[in-house]
Amino acid sequence: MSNNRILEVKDLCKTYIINKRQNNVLRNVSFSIDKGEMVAVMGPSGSGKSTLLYTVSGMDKMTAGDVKFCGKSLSEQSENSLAEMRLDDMGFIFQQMYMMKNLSIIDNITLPAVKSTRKKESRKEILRRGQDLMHKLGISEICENDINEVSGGQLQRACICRSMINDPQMIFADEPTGALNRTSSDEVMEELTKLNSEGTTIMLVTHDSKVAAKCSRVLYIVDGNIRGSII
Amino acid sequence: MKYLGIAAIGAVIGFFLSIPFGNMLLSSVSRKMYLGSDSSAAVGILCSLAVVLVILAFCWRCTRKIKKLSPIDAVRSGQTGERFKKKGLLRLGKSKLGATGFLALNDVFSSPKQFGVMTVIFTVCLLLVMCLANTGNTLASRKLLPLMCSTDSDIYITDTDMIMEVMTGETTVTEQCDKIEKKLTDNGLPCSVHAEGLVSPAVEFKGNKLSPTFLYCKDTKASDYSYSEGYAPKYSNEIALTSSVAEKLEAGIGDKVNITINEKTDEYIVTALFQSMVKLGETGRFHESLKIPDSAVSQVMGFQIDFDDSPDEEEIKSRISRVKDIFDTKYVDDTDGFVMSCIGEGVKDTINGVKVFVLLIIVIIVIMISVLMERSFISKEKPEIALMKAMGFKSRSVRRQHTLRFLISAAIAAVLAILLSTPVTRLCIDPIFGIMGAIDGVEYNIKPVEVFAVYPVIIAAATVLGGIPHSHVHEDHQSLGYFRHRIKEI
Repeated sequence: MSNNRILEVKDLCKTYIINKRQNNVLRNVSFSIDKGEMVAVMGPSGSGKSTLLYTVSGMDKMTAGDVKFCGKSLSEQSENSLAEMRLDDMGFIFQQMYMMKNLSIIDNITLPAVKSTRKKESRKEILRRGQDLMHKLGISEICENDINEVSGGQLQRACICRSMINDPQMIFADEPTGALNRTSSDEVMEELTKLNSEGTTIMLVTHDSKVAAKCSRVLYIVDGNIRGSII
Repeated sequence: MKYLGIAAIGAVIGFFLSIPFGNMLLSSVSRKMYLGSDSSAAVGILCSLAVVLVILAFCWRCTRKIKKLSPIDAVRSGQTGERFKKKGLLRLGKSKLGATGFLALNDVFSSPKQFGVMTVIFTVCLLLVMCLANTGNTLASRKLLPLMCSTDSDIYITDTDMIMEVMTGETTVTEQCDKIEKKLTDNGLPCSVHAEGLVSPAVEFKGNKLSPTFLYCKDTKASDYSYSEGYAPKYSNEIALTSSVAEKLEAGIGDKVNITINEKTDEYIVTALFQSMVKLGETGRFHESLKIPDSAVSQVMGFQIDFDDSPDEEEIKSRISRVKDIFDTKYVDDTDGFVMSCIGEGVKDTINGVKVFVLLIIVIIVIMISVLMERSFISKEKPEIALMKAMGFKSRSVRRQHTLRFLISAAIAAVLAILLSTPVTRLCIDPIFGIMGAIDGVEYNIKPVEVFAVYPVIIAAATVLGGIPHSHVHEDHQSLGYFRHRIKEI
């Protein structure tokens, strides 16, 4: 594996048992992602796009195969070390903009940094970094707002800030614009593209071709298999 | 219908369990008193019905929320697009707590209704146990001695045979006291012995007649006892009365009442009022200088021994065994034991037994409430738990957060219960002591370690035990699978 490679997937299989029937969602999927790439995963409904995203990020257990993230094989990691990897090395953006309902926007963003022990930072320093990220993404004004007081686009940008707070190696995004209107979608994709241009590796799942068009590479998945890769 | 069924089953089980439990409680007090044979089954059935109705009433009230839900809420999953006011009270940036501690505290303050209900229940449970503990501890403590109208002595002999000798006229109070004093002195325990004699004269004031029990002891001073109003009798024609006797006679301090002893009627001035649990508060006190013939003394409380060398508590305990041997009787006690024998031997044990039983029930209730609440929390907070795990929180951090929330509720409940324990005990138990004669209340014997430490710790431990999140939080991928199941595709 080259030094530039951040994610390497080899013969990945994922099977679900539903009503005692085996459902092979991913079949021998192999690909790799280099540092600084922005890769989109596209495919028809039920093709296994999101399952692929969650399996390669360690959120879901693989049935067979090997996934190396920053040189570490995910199947060899314990639950606690996978949790540490998610905290320090990965960022997640979900379609539904999940946030902790009892925390303000800024507290939601800084929570992973407070939890992380990698950097020895004071609360003030963490708060300042969070505010800097919010300023960068153009949402400084909603710092102290409750999550119910902001629009969908603002909330998704707050989720991007949260995913970035610990300077992750890679961001995994599952339909980041799926629940947004066109204007907000464009704003969010603009931010993600900007982050990528600054060196953040991003893997995102989408069925929006406009979103995929902004990525450096598109993996096309059908029936659990990568059928093509468009650069 | 579901809750009607559950409440009905619970009420039936509770009703049938109450029968042997009630019989057990009654048996411990009915040894010395005759109880009526009226059936309490009707009361039990009525109470069971009342419990079912109360539960149904609350269920009906809670289901009113169903009216507010519309079909569109299902489509939007409850999201109406409306904006709500701020929820979180604490700020992570300004807090010194770790992430887990902050989230726990913030959750408690952000959902005051939810955790408030739990806190109130735990507080009530604790108060119940604390009241029983305070009552039990007070019933066997020397703090009730003034209400027994006795002075504090080293040892008390309450042997019924020795008391009966006085009651039957076989010997007088003075002779019996002298006999005991001589015997103890001969056995190397020089002491002085006295006894509170009980006299039952006829009292009359402005046509109101009564026969209260008067206490009299020529070896003590009237000023040695406590009075709630007025001043201690100083002369032989002065008396003190309990408030209930004064009320029945319609007499007050300064009034002259007529008292007939051995067919001789004299006037006495009421100089003081006091409290007494002797003869349910229907008592009075004569001055020690009044010449009352021994034949008028119908009973004694017990024979009080004061050793000449003023021994300490440990020495007193060892002398109690010696005195038991000297007089071949087991009825020799220190002050605490004397008070207990006046109240009734089985009462304290019964109350302690009830206290332990109630504590057990409360622990079970607290655990069950914690389990139910935690399950409800986990079910409601699945997205948040999944999000925390996606962010990189370990299972033990999530468990710690959930456990801490319960611990915070229990701690708040403990503080509230500690603050309210004494006033609530007074509110609930003073009327009971009032029936026994202590109209102005009693000084409760509160054991701080037991009441303020042991019981709160037990309740907190029960809360934590019940609130420890269940295994499906531990399973990493089951929580993270929340996101998988939210995906429309598989």
